[in-house]
This record gives sequence, C-alpha cells and structure tokens, in this order.
Amino acid sequence: MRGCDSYQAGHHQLAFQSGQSTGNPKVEAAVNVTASDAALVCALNRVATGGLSMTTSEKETIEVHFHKAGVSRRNFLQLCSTLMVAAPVGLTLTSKTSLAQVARAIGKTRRPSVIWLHFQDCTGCTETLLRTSAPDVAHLILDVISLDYHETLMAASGAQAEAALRSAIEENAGKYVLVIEGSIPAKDDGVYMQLASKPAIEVAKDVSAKAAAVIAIGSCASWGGVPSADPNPTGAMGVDTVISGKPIINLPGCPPNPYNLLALVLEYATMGRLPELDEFHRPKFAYERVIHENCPRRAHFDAGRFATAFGDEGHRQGWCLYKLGCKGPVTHAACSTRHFNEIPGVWPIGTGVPCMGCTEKNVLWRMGTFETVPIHLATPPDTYPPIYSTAGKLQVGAAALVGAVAGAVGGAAWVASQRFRSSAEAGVARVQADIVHAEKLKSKPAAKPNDKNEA
Amino acid sequence: MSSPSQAIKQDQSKIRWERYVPVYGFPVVNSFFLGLAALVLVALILTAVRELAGLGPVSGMNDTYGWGIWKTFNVMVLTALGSGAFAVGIAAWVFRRKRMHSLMRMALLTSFLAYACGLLLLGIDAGRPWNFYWMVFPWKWNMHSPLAEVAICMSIYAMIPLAVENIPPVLERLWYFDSRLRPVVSIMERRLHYFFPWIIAAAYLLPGMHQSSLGALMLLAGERVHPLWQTPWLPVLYLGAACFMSFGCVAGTTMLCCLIWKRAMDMDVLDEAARITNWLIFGWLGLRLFDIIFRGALGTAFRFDRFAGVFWLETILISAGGWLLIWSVRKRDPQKMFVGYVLSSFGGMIYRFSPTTLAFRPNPEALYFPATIEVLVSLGFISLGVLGFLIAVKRLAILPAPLQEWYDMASYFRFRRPYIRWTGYFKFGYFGEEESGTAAGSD
Repeated sequence: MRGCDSYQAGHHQLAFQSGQSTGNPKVEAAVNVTASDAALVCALNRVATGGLSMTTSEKETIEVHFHKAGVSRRNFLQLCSTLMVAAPVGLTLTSKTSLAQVARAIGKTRRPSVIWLHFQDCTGCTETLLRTSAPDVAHLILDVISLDYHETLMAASGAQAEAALRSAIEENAGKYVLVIEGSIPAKDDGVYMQLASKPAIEVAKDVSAKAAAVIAIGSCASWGGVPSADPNPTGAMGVDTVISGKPIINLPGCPPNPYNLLALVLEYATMGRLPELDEFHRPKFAYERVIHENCPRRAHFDAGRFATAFGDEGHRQGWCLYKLGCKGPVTHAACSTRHFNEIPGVWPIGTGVPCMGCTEKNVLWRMGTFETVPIHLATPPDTYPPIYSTAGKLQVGAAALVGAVAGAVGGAAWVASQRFRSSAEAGVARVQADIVHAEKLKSKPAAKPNDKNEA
Repeated sequence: MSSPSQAIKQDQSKIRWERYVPVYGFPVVNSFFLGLAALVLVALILTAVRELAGLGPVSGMNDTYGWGIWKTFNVMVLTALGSGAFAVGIAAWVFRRKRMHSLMRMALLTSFLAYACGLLLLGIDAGRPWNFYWMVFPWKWNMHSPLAEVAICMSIYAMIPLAVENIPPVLERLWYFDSRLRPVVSIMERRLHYFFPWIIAAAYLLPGMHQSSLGALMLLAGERVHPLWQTPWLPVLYLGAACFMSFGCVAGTTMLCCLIWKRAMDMDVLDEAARITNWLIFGWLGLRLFDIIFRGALGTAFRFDRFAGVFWLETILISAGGWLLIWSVRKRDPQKMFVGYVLSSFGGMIYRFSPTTLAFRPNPEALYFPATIEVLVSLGFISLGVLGFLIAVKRLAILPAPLQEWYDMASYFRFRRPYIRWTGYFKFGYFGEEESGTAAGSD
C-alpha cells in the first residue's frame, strides 16, 4: 500500500528542508508535489478503508495509537522530526530542543477529535492543507489529530456521511474541535445554502453547540471573504457573528498558511490550551507583525525604489510593490517570513504580485486592488538627523590637517630620537651624582631619618 | 676602550629600574597640556554638532565606506597600540620575562586609555544614537551581528580587567598620601588580591578574542579587500600585529618619557623588550610572506598601483624597524631602538588600517577621505587619552625608575612642600624598614 511510502516522502522533504537538496528548484518542487500527492493518495486509501469513520469515545494517546497500528519507534521519531522542521510556528514544539523532547511531548498527546465543515467556500483552505508535506496530510489527519468528519476527504456520502457526523458529535461531545471553512449565508433565513435539508446557519449552530473550540479557517469563515463582497447577495458573514459562547479562533488568509492551523492544533492537543489572540481573534504567533516589517523588498521601500507598472524596469529589478497597491504595510500576517509549501519565495510578494491584504477584515474586498494604503511611520521623524549617502570627496582642509598631524608626530619622533644620546648621558650623570650623594648620607648615620629611633 | 661613550655605556648597564616613581617637579598644567585640552574642547563641541546634525554632514562616510576613521583608526589601530596589557603581560607573567614587570604599569595605563577613548568614540560613531538606550537590555542585543563579539568583549575588557588592573597605583598613592587611609587601603588591597588571578586571566583571554575578531570582521568583506591583505589568516595576523605594535608603544613611550623627564634608562629591560619585539616582528613578517606566497597573491605586489605601494610601505617600515631593533640590541643604542619602535609601530598601524580603508575597494569610483570635523574629533579623543596619561604619570607611580629616584622625590617634597608634614611621602625612610615596620601608622 502507498501508505508506507509516505514515510519515505517525508524523508525526502526533510532532506530538502535541511539543505541537502539538488540545488534545482524545479526538481525540488517536483519532489514536493510527489510527496504531497503520495500523502494524499495514502490518506484517501485509508479513508476509503474506514479510517475516518472509526471513532471512539476516549482517544488514546499518539504513542498508544502508533503502538496499536504497529508503527515502529523509528518511524515515530521520523514523524517527530518532520514536526520539528514544520513547526517553527508551533508554540509547544518551538521550545523543544531535541527530538527526544518532541517525541515525549507528542507521545503523551491525546489526539484531538476534529470536525471540519464546509460552507460558502472554494475549498482552497483544504487544498493548501493537502499540500503540506512536513508532516504530510496522512500523518496529520490520521495520526496527529483524528479528523472525524471532512466532506472533501471522506469517502462516505449522503445518509452515511450524516450518520458519521452525528456519531462524531455524540461520541466526543464537548471535546472536539470544530473547523469551519467558508462564510455562512444569513440572509432570508439562510435559504441560500442547504446541508442535509437544513440551512447552513443552523448546521453551524448545532455542531458548534457541543464543540470545545471553533476554528474559522480562511478569510471567508473569519469575516465573510469573497462571498460577502458588495453587494453580498447571500448575506454572507463570518463565524463569530453567527456562533456565540464558544472560543473562536480566526485564521484568516486566502488561503492561510496551513502551518498556522497545524501549530494551533498541536498546541491545543499537547498543552490543552489555545494560544494568545489579538483583537480580531487571530493567534498572535502568526498575525502579530505586519508583512512590511519583514518584507524582503523592504530595503527598496526605504530607499524609495518602487515598481510603478507590471513588467517595468523596477518590477524586473524586484523593487518595492507599494505603488502597485501592495497592502503589506497594514496586513498582519507571517507570509514574509514563512513561505508556502516549504518552497522559498512562494508567496505573493515573492512572486512579484502585490499583497492583497487577505488577513485584514477591512482590506481585501473592501479596498481597490491598486489603491495604496496609508503608511504608519513611513520615514523617521523629522527631528532625527538624516543619514546622507553622499559620494566620498577629498576636503583640502582635512588633507592639510592630516598632513600637519602626521608631520608633527613624525617631526617630534625625529627630534626625540636626536636627543636620546645626550639624554642618556645626562640621566647617567644624574644617577651617578645621586649615588654619590646617598653614599655621603650613609657615611653619617646620625643624618639618617629613622622613625623608630626617634620614637 | 676609554672613550666617553664607552664609559657611559658601562655606567648605563649599572642602572636598574627598581621602583615605579611618579614624575615630580613638573607642573601638570603647562602649555602643551593646555593645547591638548583645547583640542579636546573642540572635539567635544564637534561631537555635539555630530549628534545634532547626523553622520552625513560631519563625516566623509558614504554608502560604500560605512566605516570612517573613528572605527578604523581610533578603534582598530589605536587599540592595537593599546594591547600592551595583553602582549607585555603575557611576556611577563606567562613566559616569565621578569624584567618586563617594570614596564607593566605603563602597559596597563596605555591600554586602558587607548581602549577607553576608542570605546567613547565608538559610542559617538553609533549611527542612530536615539536607539542607544537598548544597550542596557542584554536580551535585546543583536547576537547575530558580526560586531557583537567585538563590542561586548571590548567593552567588558576595558571596563573590568583593565580598569581593575589600574587600581593598584591609585591605592599606592592613597597609602602614601595620608596615613589615616592606610587601614582602608590595606582592606581593599586584600580584596583585590583575591580577585586578581581571575582578572588577569580574563585580561589575557578577552583581547586575544577581540583583537583577532577585528581581523575576522574584514573576512566578511571578501573580494572587496585586496588579495594582499584578504586571507583566512587575517585574525592571526591582526593579533600578531597588535602584539609587536603594543610592545613598540609601551617601550617607546617609556623611552620618550625618560627623555622628556630626564629619567635614567635601564638598558637591560629595554634590550629584552627589543629582542621580544624582534621575534614578534620577524615571525609576523614571515607568516605574512608565506601566506601571500601560498595564496599566489605575490604577483599583485609588483603591480604599479596604490595597493602595491601601501604593501611595500608597511613591509619596509616594519622590517626596517625590526632591523633597527636588532642593531640597537647589539650596540645598546637607545636612539636606534626608539626609531626602530616608531617605524615598526607605524608600519603596523598602516597594516591594521589597510584592510578597512586603504586596501578596501568596493568599486573603482569609491573614495573615502575623512572630513575635517572627523579628523578633529579623532584627534581630540587621542588628545583626551594623552591628557589622561600626563595626569596619571605625574600623580601616580607609573614610570619605572632607579630606587634613587624615589629618594630624590622624597627629598624634593621635604624641601618644596614642608606644609604637608603628615604625608606618607616623608615616612619612606629606607624601604625595608618602612615596609616591614609600622604600616598601621606611628604617624
């Protein structure tokens, strides 16, 4: 079965990550695609054989799960090493310095049950998740978490699928994590989207009622996204306006980087807690800084070198895309430091396209594509002294000064050297006179000052 | 055999430096001192201008030459001259050249002043002074910067080992200045004694690290440094240059002081220093020559351009200095010895300066020449060091001298300053009695 190949694929990926690559990006990309395809095939095979429908009331730890499945310790450690590579975003694993520590933390973890619902979406978020390769999706959904319901990945359909959803909810009531992909239409009592003869809005409320936490993945689920663009015919809205009373974490992005979800789920699974969130319920570990701060083209921005049209000289030179409508200066996301699919440079600005601002509620679909955003602290305040970059020039005064100093030092050294012989003679004569004087003093003991005798 | 100069040489060989004695009988403030103070004042005013106007208008630095003479001369070159505490100290303590102990206080003082003035100027050179306050938060330091090692190591070295090693002359002055201070001084001396081995160990470790790191910094410049200078051995060569330059600085300055203040010179000590410097110079020149030959860069030394010119200038200066030193050791001639120290140190200064500026060629059009303000500030901070030196040698026992000089000083003060009768300078008597006798004060 292809399932066994996924370890090998993961190994390829690890070699790629640690720099032992062939040096040819196309080849590496092909390896990546192969790896994720193998993972996908593996996942689908295991789904088809009933992997997804097997749910138990109390999830065993990952260690026990692997033991039962007959996975060797070596393969388990290989998975842990891929997690170490993949989870620089991860909060739990970031502090772990050795493979053994990661293995210990992961081994004790009870796999969280995850239910994944689709509403008004393009399935792009699921697609990007399927393209992760360290760890590959098979490991992720079957071994690290227990993905109990996912409409795109499961083999079941119709009444069988509904039964799977119901059993997953009942067996893990109050413990499962609900992941929602896509916005929820609320206009006209939610008639614009029906799931098993029920409006989407009701499905969302029903399933979330017994969930431990709700993760809204993608910009649509976070605050409406493209379905909510004007004139918003279906009244699409984000999860947090529909569901209340549950912890909601938004992972906006179109699509978001799958490692953000992985880190979030790993944190929840290993530590049983959710990471720190900002005012828009975005986890701070991925959404605290704006793209502009770590943009590889930032130096061009600071130097005032801008591409002004697609394909112009500046665009070819890789200059800043701000004037083409890049929303990087206001967009909070980690894209500039963590590229997609583990391929360096694979992210919008890296490929020469301006940032759309997909992780910001008020930017994507609310601002014009080529509209420029206001810059906070574009330049240092005027009270700071400027740092000029004038070309070097030779000042006559400075040259004269350097010459004068060098001449003075050299002249002094010359004069000093000329006087050394006479000085040595004088020094000797002086010391000789002193010695004679001291001998005279010694020859008269009464003149010798001695405190003890006086006392 | 009985010519006057022969007789002098024979008498001279009897002179021994046995004690550190302050320079007495000369006022601290004289016209030279005031001239230096004026230079320092000008430099401080220009420093204020620099902080308000920014680096661009006051310096000749530009995008291709980001390091001006404040870094490349006052730090890279002058701290090499100020490595005496490292080089002379290792010769004295590790290799047991016991005669070198009489030069130790000069070495410690010149090192401290060179490092302190260099670090002050480095602070002024910081491009964005409004970010300076981050320095007090070590967890905010940029440990990925190649300059981090140099900056941390250098400031720790100047602030702890060098400063502490310069405390004994101060304690000694307090001891002799007022007998009421003696109990406190003896307690402090005991405390100091306890820590001293560790301080000395740190004082040999830290400069060894950062003097070589200064060379390692230029490895980052890669091809931009001319192949005559760019070598993987640059850290070793930088450290070696610092060693012979600092010997030249310590021994040469001591000789100059003896000349100016009419002190007798112990030619045995100076000969030994010159012999050590010789070994260092010719070992260094040999290493450099082998390195250049094995890298196949020797051909570039015979082109007609400024790089070859600088290379031959420094090589000729250093080897001429070394040759004069050999000659002076044989002939016991202080004149040749002094010129030898001056030439070799000057050649070493050019060598330390070259990779950053003279042999640095980011592109054919690039040019850096220090602006007038830059030169004046640099000069002012050197003057500050010289001022500190003048005050220190006249107030503290830094310069070595024959024992007789100490007695002369005592009689001088007995005659010229009768009103300070309680001063310990009068109690010196004969040394053995003083030190074994009533230290707790019969005064």
